[in-house]
Amino acid sequence: MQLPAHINPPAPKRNAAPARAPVYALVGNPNCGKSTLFNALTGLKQKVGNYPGVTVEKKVGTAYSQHGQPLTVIDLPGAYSLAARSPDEAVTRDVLLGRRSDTAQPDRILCIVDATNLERNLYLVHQVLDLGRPVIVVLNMMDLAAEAGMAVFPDKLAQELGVPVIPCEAVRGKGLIELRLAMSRADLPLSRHAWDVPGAIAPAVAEIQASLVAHDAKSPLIARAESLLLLTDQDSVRVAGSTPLSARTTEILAGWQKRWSAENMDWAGTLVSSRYDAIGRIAAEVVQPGTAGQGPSPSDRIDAVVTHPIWGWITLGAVMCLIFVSIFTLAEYPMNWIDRHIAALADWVKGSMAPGDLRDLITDGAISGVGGVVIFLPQILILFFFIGLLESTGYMARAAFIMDRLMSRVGLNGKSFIPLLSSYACAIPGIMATRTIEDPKDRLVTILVAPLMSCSARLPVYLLMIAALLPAERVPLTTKVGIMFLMYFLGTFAAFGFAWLFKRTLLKGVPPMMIMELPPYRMPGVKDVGLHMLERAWIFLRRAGTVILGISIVLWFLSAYPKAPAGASPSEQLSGSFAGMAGHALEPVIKPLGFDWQIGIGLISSFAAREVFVSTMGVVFNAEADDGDTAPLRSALLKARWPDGRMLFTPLVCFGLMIFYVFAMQCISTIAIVKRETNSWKWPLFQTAYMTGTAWILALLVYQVGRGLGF
Amino acid sequence: MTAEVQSLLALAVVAIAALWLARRAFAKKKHPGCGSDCGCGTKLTKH
Repeated sequence: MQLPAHINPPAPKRNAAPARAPVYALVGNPNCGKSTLFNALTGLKQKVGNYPGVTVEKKVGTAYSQHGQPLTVIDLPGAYSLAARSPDEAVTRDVLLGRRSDTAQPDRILCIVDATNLERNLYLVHQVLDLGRPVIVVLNMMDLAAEAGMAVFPDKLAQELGVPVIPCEAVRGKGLIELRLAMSRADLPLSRHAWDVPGAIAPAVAEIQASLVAHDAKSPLIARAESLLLLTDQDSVRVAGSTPLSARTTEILAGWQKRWSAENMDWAGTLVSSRYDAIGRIAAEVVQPGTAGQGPSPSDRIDAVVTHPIWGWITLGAVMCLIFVSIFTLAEYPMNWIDRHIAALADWVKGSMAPGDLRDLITDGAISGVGGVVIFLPQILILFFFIGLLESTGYMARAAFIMDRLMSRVGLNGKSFIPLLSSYACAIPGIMATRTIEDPKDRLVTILVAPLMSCSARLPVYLLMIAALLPAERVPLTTKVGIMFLMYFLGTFAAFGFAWLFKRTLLKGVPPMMIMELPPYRMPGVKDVGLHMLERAWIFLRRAGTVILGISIVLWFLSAYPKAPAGASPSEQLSGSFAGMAGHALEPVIKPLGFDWQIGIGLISSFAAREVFVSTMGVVFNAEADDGDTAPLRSALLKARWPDGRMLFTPLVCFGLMIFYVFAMQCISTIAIVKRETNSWKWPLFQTAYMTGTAWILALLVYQVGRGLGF
Repeated sequence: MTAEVQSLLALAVVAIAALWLARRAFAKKKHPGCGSDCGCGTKLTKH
């Protein structure tokens, strides 16, 4: 029976939807809006930002078709081509080529394309079409293309490529219905795109393709795409889970490369050029250039200031100052509010329960430990509000650009700066972000110095020490901001200094050129920034309610047992406890730094995480308090004394402690992630030794020189 | 609640916390080394 023209015939079996949920892979150039689209399709909250390299690993989510059927969506790291130059790009390449043992090869591919940079983005699309999978091209950022005066014709592009092309504005959710409809189709067409491989290369392509089919169990179309890729890429970047090529295919590939090398022919270059020629012809048909080139755009005008050799640094300094001033001023009221309520809760428990160990555990252990850290939630939120703003506006990439001048002097490039910037939030994502760095030595150097950047876990330590060092009523705000600035500067300066040292000794190499895309400025997405803050608040509170609570409880036991004889003071009890014994054992090492055994307990426990130092001080000094009421930790620290009556937390000791925490590697999670990323215990152990050694030496210098100068 | 009962309960809470921390530190995880705090990714091999 002949169907009416408006009804699609049943899908041919070849393209029929598989019984399991179809797997879609999201691919595209860096910073083209993949993760934004992924979030819009799946309802997840994958991190997004207006700079390249936000996503460095694959993320999987579930979207639903127009008919309510589940669709698996894999968000892949951005790549300019399938020729991977860095580990994050290798993940994208391996998933698409079916090289990963832990991920099924996607059934269909969503190619996200930045409409404002169509020609450049089409290179990856062109390679993806070679894979012979159903592809949907998503023309994202159509609004920005229109603003730039460009005319992009989706229908013409669909005609040229032979696949559906959906214009879209992922940030505003425009085009999503059309995209879901396209994704729901059972009969997605295969691309009709034709590309003539230069005749001289064709035999090599055919032989490698045949070997991939015979020895690597690849389907013919995937094998052709992979053979084209192998001939243009050295296939040098490998990641775990990636199935290696068979010996036979490797042998054939090496044979062709040797032959071409002997003939002195750059066939790989010819292959790339012929692809660019094909893309150029398509772009000429599909895009009508805009008027943007006739004068500087608003982004260009802003960049003239923020990337200026002098004004750029002034802007960066002003941004940092603004963040620190806000941390001290805006957080004061919510911090005092939390402080009051934590003290009130502890007093209520003390009033409601009879004296005993359980009451002490709740008040001196759980409430003092967790409360001492939770009080810094407002500052953490303010810090991440500003980080979110900087990420979503596009300023992060500019900061990397101006830092490149400085970083090239230490042997690194601006690409290392994005991981270092990420480390201001937490060293773990910072270390993972090093996957965007091509050169293994540069990547290792960046991993080694990333934990020197002051992460958010150090913030509670700095704030507590500044509060003890400079009580609010005595000093102006600028002094506190100045000290905070100094701590962040010291960490950054040390990271550059050690990078310089490592690049000239352990990991010698030529400083690479940086090629980095400066994305156009965008208005910050309130929702994205808000979600980012909420996510970080949740991480902070979850950590306080789990690890820090657990450590505080155990620490209370260690400070309360063994029990001192009846009539002993709280101080004597703590001194004779398990924790006290550990602190006393460490004291000879830290006494030259001006630290006593009680601070030693904090140094030991904070190997778990830096902010545990604050909770430990809460447990230790509240356990020692003689009076019945719960005092703020800052006050308790100021009352702490050496046995001879001298003040323990003098300004010099507080400053020395801050210096110690700038440099010391006090984070087990970071050590573990460095081990995993370097596949060796050698580097995390070296890192722990050099960082903690430097911390000890510098804290010693601060204390001894300070004392020598009469402080 | 007597002091003895409080001591017993407190020690039980400490034991649970210590066991939980030990299990968290040494149990085999799907994504080892993450600390479940800041996210983590696929393991990399040597180049």
